[in-house]
Amino acid sequence: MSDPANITLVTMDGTTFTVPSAYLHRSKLVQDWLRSEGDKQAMEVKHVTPFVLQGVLNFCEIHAEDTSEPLADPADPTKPFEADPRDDAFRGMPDDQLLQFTMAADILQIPELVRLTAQEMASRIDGKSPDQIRAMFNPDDLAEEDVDSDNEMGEVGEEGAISK
Amino acid sequence: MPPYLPVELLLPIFTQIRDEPDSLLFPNLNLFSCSLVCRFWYQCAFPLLLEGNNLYLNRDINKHTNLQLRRLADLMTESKRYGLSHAMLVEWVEIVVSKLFVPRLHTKGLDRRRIGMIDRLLRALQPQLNIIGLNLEGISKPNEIRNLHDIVSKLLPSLDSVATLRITHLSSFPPLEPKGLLCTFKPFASSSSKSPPIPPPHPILPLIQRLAPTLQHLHLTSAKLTPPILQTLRACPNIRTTRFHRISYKVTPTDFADTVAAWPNLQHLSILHPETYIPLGETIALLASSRPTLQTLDLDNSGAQEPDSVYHNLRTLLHHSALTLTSLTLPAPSNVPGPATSPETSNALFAFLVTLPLPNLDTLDLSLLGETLTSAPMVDTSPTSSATPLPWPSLRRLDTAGCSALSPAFLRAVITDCPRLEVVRTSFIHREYDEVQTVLTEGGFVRRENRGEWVGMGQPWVKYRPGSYRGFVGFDAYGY
Repeated sequence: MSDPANITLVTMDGTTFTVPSAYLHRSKLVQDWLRSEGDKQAMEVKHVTPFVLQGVLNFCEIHAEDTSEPLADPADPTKPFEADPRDDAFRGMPDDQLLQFTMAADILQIPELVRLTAQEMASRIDGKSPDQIRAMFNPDDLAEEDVDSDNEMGEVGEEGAISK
Repeated sequence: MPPYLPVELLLPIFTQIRDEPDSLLFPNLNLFSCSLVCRFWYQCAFPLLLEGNNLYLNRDINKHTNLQLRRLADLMTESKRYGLSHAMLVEWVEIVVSKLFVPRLHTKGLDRRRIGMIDRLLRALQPQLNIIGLNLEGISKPNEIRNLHDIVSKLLPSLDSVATLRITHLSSFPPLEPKGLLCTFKPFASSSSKSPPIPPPHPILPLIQRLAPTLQHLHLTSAKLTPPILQTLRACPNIRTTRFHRISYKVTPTDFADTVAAWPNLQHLSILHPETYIPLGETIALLASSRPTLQTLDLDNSGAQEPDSVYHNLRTLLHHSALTLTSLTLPAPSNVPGPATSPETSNALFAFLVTLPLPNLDTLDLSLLGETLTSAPMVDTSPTSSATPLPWPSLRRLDTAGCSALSPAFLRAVITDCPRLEVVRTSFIHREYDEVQTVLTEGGFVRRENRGEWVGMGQPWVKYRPGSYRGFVGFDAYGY
């Protein structure tokens, strides 16, 4: 059985990270895992690279002692976002990395990190055309079979760029 | 890198998106841009655009910088190319013409770039856009009129589907009136036998002519109504709504009446707050004979000298429209000395009205009757009364401001018989104001402070109902 004070996370390539469980008290996924499967040796975090998981854990460590009420919904418009200088590392990273952090935050169910990355993405969208946003989020790998040619909104792919 | 974001990640992003520096701009251009990225983003972002939609662009189009306006036109054009629904976000566009001028060395020139962007926007909004507003405030000098010609000429092709035209601050200047300056000056070399040059028509006239086949609703506010305009309006066969508010009438009552009678499909006629007097007797007479089924009949003839027959014809007109009428403003009685000026005239009309079933009547304005309205002899609210209840089951708003002699018993009857009543406007100079207050208070009404449009227009009382917004029914609708 693992040490209850610490938790070990295993990334997609088998890299392990052991951190105090308290760091991850805002992760709903981890909390649920601790309750149901806490007797296991390590928790697998598939689809997350070591680099990204390290960044997520850094965020969790920085905010481990925050006393603010947990955020229930990162899309809640009634909770205004307040920039925290401790999170500046997320502001300078490339678009694709930011996207990966957003996905990892979603996988680990950390609403505060989801909102932070979402806010940063929103600020990067400011003033951009649809083409520029497409380039940011790279929805250009649309496979032919994904195209829904019989849709009611013109030549629009199911999840791909709107065809011109 | 994962290629697509799931909806649970898109929504936090979209809710964080703001248009800086003015986050109140509509539509949110950044969110609009996101909604054109792909179908999935469209499905996620469009409901948010709808939520933040004010349903009109009139306030914002003038706040947009040229850069923002160009972006909006680009996005709307792209949306139209894809056959998407963004045009439904814009209910109507108002163009403030004075904002289309830029200062030059000694004068003002047209901002042709901005006009081009508006043209592109209007084209992209076709065919959904059917309401256009033209604010002509400050446009009165000859060079401004010439420029208005250019603007209208440029935008006309983009307005083919417009069914509603709202014009404000249409002032009177030479092209509108043949006796103006342009007709006074004669060229030096012209022979005396030649007639003076005919001034070009006011640019609004070709606009109305162009829209005539589709025009159904016309709103003129703070404008001067002249014979050429009436002549042009008569050629609009599909008019259903006309609002003449704060109008200076430079036309004869006969011309006005003939024009109104030329619209066979008329459903809403609203004449309120005239800047100059216009007797409406002839209009009422013609309408009474043509038997339209009106939904709105606001007849503000303040200060005008009416023929004695005005109320006789009005009764006929009301009788024809009784089943459809939703809004009614009764005109003032004749102020020509004679029997028609007596209180009996107003009271006789009132006696007719309180027995006339008006099942859809929402708003009743008696204020123009003033102190000539003194009693309601058929209204008796005593428990033993066998009087017929007021047949206005849908009445929500009652305006009695100015009716300083109106019997409080009438108010009591309205409160008793009209279960949907929400707002009553009364006069604090009422001769029996204490009793009026008692009646309203006992009826569950609360006096509100005058605000906004109510300032100087009497005392509003609002129905208090626990559970409604701030406890007051109609709170939003009346700007309290």
